[in-house]
Amino acid sequence: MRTLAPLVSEQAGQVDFYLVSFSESASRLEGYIEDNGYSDMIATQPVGSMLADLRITSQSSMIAMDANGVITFRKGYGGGGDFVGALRELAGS
Amino acid sequence: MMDRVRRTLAFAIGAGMVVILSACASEAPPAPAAPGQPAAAPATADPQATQASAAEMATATRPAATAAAATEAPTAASQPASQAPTATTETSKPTVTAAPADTTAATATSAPTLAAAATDTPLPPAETPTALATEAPSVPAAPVGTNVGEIPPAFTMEGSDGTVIALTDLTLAGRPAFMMYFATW
Repeated sequence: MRTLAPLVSEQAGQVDFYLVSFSESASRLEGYIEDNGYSDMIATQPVGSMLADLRITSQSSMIAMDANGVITFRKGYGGGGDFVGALRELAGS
Repeated sequence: MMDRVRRTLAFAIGAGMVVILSACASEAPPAPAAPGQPAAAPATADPQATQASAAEMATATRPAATAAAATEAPTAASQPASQAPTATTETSKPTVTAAPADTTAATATSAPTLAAAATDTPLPPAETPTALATEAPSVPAAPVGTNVGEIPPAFTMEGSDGTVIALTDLTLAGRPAFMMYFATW
């Protein structure tokens, strides 16, 4: 999160950032965002089988989609992947 | 007086029929038939034969005509014997075959109009498939899936204020989206 926070502030307005609760409520995430100054993120919680449908099996998973809704980047917990480069590519698209 | 008139009339009718029949048998030389006929005509010019009608005289002269046609075969003796029947059938052929020739010609002239109409009607169906083929846009749609290059299946998430955010809302926004699944613990 510490690596992601400066990128979110940098690309705010070009990319919509959603912080999706893995096992908590959206209001709890909202408090966390306010406490840490990540004001450009939107706190949400999954509805229904969203996690299963997207095959999210662990926290810190990331999914990036372009303006057409096509997945351009995906990574799981501890997995590799240059999400910084993926975010910058999204902002430039 | 009346007998003489009848005799001359019967002779004239009989001679006329012979001339007509010999003319119909075009290949038959009129010379052999003509001399034979006057000889036959006096034979039919009996007092009893004068009672015969003109129709009977015509039938009486037909054997003479066939005899004339038969005399043609010996003249063409070097030719095959089947030539004589063909000569007789040739006289009737032109009248018989003329009608079918005309009907076939009539149908032949009407056939092009039908063919032209037939060629005109298939043209519109031939154009419609091409029009449909050009109308179909070939927009490449990404498959639904969870891997890179795929469109994720429809999902819904809820904000802290109760706002429902769906995948369609993300795409309608027209901006890229980045989702991080996070836990505070």
